[in-house]
Amino acid sequence: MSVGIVHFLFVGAFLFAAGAFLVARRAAGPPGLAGVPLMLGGAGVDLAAIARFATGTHDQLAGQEFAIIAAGFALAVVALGTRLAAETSR
Amino acid sequence: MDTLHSVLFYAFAAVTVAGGLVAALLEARSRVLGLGLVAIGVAGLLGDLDAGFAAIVTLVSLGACAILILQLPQAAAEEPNGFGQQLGAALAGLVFLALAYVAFKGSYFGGGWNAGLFNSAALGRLLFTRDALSVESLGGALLVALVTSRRLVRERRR
Repeated sequence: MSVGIVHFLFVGAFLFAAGAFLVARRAAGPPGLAGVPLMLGGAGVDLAAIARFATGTHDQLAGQEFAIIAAGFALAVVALGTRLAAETSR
Repeated sequence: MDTLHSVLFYAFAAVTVAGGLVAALLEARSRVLGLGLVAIGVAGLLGDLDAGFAAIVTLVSLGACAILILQLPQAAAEEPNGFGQQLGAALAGLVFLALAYVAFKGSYFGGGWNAGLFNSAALGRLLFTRDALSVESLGGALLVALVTSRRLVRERRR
């Protein structure tokens, strides 16, 4: 069975929803942080899939570019959040 | 996509979905394992999408996120149960259904891909010229996270 853009978008949507679940159910607590990389990872898969399958010959790398930025942003959020969580739990 | 790509997609999608389920449903320490699986799965999917450089960056970033979350003290990693959890699950289910519906019903432009597997030179040109402000913002966010972490560690040691 041939794999197309919809397959990748489904996986990205699942990851985003799993991350949203983690963030929502612990909205007041720091462990919701684990949801941020999931959400941004899912968004990265979607962006790269759209760049791969559904862009013209111009600007084909824009989706990958923002997938990279999303991954770096997830790392920044988790780095700050874990440190703050460790401090508040003392 | 050809057969090899399809096989790789299903393998990495299975790893990603399993990791997402472990991270979302199991308790604190198991969540790190789930995040590690998600890092491997997402990197594999990006590699399957001819986004080799993004795959490496994502693997490193999400792997680092998993290691950082592993550093959380057990007290901070405990979570309350109850109504909020159920509401969160219902909302996440709705989000998934909405996104899946949009993905399934959408009509997509059929593009022609000719950017290669890595093409890190072209990506670098984009990141450091046209979209330099985004990269600067990301660098600023990482710097703030690093400085704050360092400061908090120092105060803790005193």
